[in-house]
Amino acid sequence: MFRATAPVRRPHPVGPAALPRLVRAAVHTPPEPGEPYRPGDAREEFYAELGALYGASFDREQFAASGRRTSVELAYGALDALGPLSAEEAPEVVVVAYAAPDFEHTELVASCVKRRLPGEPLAFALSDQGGLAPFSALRVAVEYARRCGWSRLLLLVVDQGTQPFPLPAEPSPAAVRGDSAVALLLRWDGGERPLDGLAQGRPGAALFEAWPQDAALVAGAGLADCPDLPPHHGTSAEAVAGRPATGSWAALLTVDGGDRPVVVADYDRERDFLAYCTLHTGELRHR
Amino acid sequence: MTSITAVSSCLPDTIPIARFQKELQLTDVQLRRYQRFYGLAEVCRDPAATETELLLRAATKLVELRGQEQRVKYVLQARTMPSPLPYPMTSLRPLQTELGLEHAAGFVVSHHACASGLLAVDLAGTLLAADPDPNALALVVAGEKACTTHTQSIPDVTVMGEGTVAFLVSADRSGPDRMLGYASRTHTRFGDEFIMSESAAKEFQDLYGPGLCEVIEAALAEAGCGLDELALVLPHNVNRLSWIGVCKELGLPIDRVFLDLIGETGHCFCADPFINLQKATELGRLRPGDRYLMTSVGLGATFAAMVFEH
Repeated sequence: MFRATAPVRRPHPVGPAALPRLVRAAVHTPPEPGEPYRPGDAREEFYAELGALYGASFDREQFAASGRRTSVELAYGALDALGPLSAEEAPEVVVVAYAAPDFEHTELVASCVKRRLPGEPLAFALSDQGGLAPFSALRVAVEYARRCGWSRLLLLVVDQGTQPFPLPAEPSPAAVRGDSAVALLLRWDGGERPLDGLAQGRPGAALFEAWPQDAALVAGAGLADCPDLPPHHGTSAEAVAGRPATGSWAALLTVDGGDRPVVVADYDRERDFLAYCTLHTGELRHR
Repeated sequence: MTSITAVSSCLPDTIPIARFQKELQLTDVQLRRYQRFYGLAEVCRDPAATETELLLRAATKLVELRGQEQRVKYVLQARTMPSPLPYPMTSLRPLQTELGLEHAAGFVVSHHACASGLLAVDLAGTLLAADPDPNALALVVAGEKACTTHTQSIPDVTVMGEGTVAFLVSADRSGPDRMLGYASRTHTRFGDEFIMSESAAKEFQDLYGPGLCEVIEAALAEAGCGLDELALVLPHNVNRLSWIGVCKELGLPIDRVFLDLIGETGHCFCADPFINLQKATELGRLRPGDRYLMTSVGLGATFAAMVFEH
């Protein structure tokens, strides 16, 4: 059970700023294709009813050509790839982040994932913020850790490539083109110290106040047409297009930033919003 | 300390549930049970309105938001349904544009189903408590469409309504409704039974009373508040009968539970306790210093309770 009194505002956090540490990570991209589609799926009636109010029709051809792996399956794949978690490693908070909703409307990923984990983490989901949802999820997870005295966080990012309704044409950032899930196990040992190197908002000088100039950069697909970023030491990895939520975080796993911090950043052109966060990944590199 | 500083709601016109009897697949006997024992005579719905329009109606009534837009750092939509809109549609973007809140970080909070509203309050308070700006605010919206067979009712429990709510959350303790304690538990056995099978429904029914009482007691303990100190309970409006059972189990007089709206709203997803807060305040049912409890239960299955001081 999660139980708490109201969070208390601490106007002057003590100590130097701290960064979350990425300690384990895994990406799951299932092989294509899925099982052959059988028209008349019971979900079709639900899609027809849901789309009617919004003038959207079920796109059977697109649906049949997709993987049709539920978000729970994808999340489980990433968890399996992450490997077993002991009680000492068990996350205290789990945030599921996604850009595109699951085509399966009878399952809740956060509840199902929690069932697979040791302990009793607080688990929930953030969405409807395009590729920026994982950045919000990380921020929220750290703030819960700070408030509750936790140190182990699990961020599960899912791209659901199977959509019942016609997808926008590329190069829209909302055009999710495949299935993927990324599991990121992080440590936050900052206690009440301020969280460093993380912000989101309209691009501008003020947004980048905490941008660490010595960091390696993992660039989300949206940064291809982004306003100017602050000085950095070049891009270490770039996300592939068509994975609005997981792209940047899958690319993060390919980076050897050495002992430098790593900035993950992405820009959502439609929202004119940019988000970045800074992580220590040294422990991941040494595994 | 988290507080709700202003709340507004939008209740569409009511429609007798008898008009939905065929869609709800209710026999005449079941319909009478819903009406007489569950207290579900009518529900508020606007079949032609989209989710975005319904949310916007509540938000534009929030007069306290006007002139304060630049203070709003976060816009949170508390959501029950995992997939309620054809992707990539979202209510948040048009809502933020219409309200002049494009500068705020906006996202949906979900997977606690109908208990996501209370989670959104706690989450907003958590972010605001850490925000560098002590005057920062969060706007929370809730309420959904009951436009599909699966979303218009929970069989043998309730009929869904389309009332919506918008409220401002602050980290300033001077707000009129201060959060004191919160508890939630997700029972993961139901994670893949959002639409429950018969056996899961039976198991959920058995869990319902004890599960709700458990989080109520935990939230009260966190708040340092006794059950007898509660002036009012602002519940999720599923049905009147279930509250008779829970009150008996808790030892709480049923007249302490604000059930006034069940017969005209139905169960409005995450919005119920906040619609009840707006109405109870309007009716003068809360006096300064009163402590009250909000409750929500979400399929999937999360039980939640939150204690406030008015």
